[in-house]
Amino acid sequence: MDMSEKGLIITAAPHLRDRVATPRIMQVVFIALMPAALCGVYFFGPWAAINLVVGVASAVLWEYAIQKIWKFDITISDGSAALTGLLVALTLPPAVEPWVTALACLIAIGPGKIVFGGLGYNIFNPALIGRTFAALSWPSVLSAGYVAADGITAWKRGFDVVASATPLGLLKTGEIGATSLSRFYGPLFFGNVGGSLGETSAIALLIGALFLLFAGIITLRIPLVYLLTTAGLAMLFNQDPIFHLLSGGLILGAFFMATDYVTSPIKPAGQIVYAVGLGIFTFMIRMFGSYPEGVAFSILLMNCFVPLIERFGAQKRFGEVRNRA
Amino acid sequence: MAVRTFVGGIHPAQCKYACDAGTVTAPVPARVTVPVGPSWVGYKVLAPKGTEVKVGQKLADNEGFMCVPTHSPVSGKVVDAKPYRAHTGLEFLGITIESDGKQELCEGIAPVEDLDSMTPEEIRNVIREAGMLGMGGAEFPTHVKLSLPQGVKVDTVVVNGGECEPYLTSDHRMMTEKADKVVHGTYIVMRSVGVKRAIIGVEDNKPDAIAALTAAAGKYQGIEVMPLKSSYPQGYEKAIIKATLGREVPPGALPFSVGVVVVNVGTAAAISDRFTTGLPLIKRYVTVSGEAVSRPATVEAYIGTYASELVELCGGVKGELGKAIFGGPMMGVAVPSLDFPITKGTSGIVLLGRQQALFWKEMPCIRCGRCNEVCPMFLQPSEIHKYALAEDMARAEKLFAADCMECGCCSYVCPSKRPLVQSIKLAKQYALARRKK
Repeated sequence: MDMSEKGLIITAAPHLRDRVATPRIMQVVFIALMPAALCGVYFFGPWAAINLVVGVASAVLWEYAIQKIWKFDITISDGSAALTGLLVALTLPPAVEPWVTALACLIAIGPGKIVFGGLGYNIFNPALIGRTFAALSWPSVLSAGYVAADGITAWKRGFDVVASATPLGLLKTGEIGATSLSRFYGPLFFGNVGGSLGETSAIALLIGALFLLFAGIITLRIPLVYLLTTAGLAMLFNQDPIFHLLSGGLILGAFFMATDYVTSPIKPAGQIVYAVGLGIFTFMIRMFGSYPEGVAFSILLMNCFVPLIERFGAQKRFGEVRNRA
Repeated sequence: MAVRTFVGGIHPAQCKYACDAGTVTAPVPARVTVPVGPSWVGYKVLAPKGTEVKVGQKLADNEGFMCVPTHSPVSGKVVDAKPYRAHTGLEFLGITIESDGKQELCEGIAPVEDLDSMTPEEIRNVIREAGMLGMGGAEFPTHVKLSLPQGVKVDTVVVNGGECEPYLTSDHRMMTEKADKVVHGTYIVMRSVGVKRAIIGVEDNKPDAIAALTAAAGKYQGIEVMPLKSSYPQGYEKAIIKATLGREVPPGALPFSVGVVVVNVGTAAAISDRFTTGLPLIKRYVTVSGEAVSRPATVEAYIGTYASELVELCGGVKGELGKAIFGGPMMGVAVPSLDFPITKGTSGIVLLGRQQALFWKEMPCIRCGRCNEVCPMFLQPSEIHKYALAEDMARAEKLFAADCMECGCCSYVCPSKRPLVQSIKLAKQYALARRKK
């Protein structure tokens, strides 16, 4: 019989695999962040565009360089470095000097990820490690990077920038808060307000979040519990819950960073505990801490607790309930 | 009401190419090698080399409770009776017969006339003597399933029509074409365990099978045809019990512990065949399909026919053959060549093209949790996998590695293409071996 039976591939079952692959998940999240990134570029002008490019490019470059020097496998094609770079840029001020973005990416990729063993082994969200490193190292450079979000006008000014305070900063210094904050709702929803590059436009972030939900990449469990906990505490402390939900990096953090697979719990019950913890830390830092914003810190803090959270909760087992009866 | 199903599972592309192709009846093969059983069990060969045999003649048997006899599918001469390396890699005893093409029936092959006056034990004995094994793939002796331990009562027979593996269509064709036999076989099984109720569970992607079975079941009391959601692994014994009756079989237990006996539709039809024609299990439906088959079809083939002949019957190999699988693509066995005979449990031969069969690049686990979500046994595959890779089998066992039923849903969904079920199977073997000690 004329049949080329030589070289038949033999593996253990299953012989079929789903099309969804890790690099594709990274791509989908990257795409889901595009509305927020484009909004940032529109509102904050040319510096925002430069920082985005620097963030993505430097993160990929750092990963390549580190792995090359230490003779590790080069993993830039899995897409996680590009995503980390994008998130670093989105969480930094729009007009921060680009060397800050590049260094933040180095910290995110190196100590944030590769020292732990690379993708899948890191304890902390790498992008937030980078951002927090920058925020603690060069606070004044960072505050100078918060600029006015006036869209066309910002582009007409070009590289000259007009500094602007963030709503949460104003709240912390006591300049607002005595009166109703509802006048901030519109700007916070659309994005024409001071803040980090990718965090200001709630609508753009929510479009991306919906995309992730429908693509089956994330579930609502962590983001929803996180947002509800924060809003609930705001009401408890007589604050404006809508203002707290829309301002700062809460929406960006809840949908795109707290849901990071690697650094969040796997089990549903653990995810809820994790999300409640995030809400409590975020609100406590905003309310009582010395920093105006607490999303990045609270996610990093709760990342520490993930291994602990994972230990609790009995595992249900098929047929077990009947077994006891 | 929503269509019934189990918890977890996946929805791979169905690829049921052979579904509309109808059934091809294979010609009598010139040569068959009938697999008798693992060679170390010590089957007694009743037809040694040189014996002239007829259709349905007993070739080998063993007194053991877990053993069933094997019969000749053809008439002709035994040219060899020796151990051979079966498609699974295990050593089997194989009896090779050269057919004379006459297909003369063995003496004593006769229908059972007085089913209604038979005791359950007599029925079980007829089933054993006919060499009935679970035809869904597990090859578990049917009479063992039907022999309940002292004091155990069952109330329902579940007939498993959940052909959930992609590509496979043999049960589907069987249910559509031989609905009467499936239902009649169901009735015999009900008699053999003394229950008044049976449920034939069929996935709702086979509406013609559901219609045919419903029409056929009307002639009997207490047989219900239940549509189930099309989902893999709906045809897993514990999954179909959960879907049809809502009962969960405890870990490590058999279905009778929740009052159920499960048989495959193919087995039911074969049992009916034995009672109406007298023929033991010598033929079965085999799906020959896959991207690398010219004309995918379901073939009614004699046990012991070489896979290469069945592929030839379906137009031969199309394009470059990458992988040949005995069984379905989710749980089947990849074989080194097509030079193996089919067994009583071979539901399909699936040929994949070279491109389809290539290895996937393995990446680190990103803890996405997809494997946890799909596991029908509620295990945490990524965790067990981690310990199995570190050869920490004690920890793997603590996470109930032994509960794994090896459906492969976890490996299927893993975006990092990690060999989850493959390593869990290993941990399971360690756990089972340790328990035996």
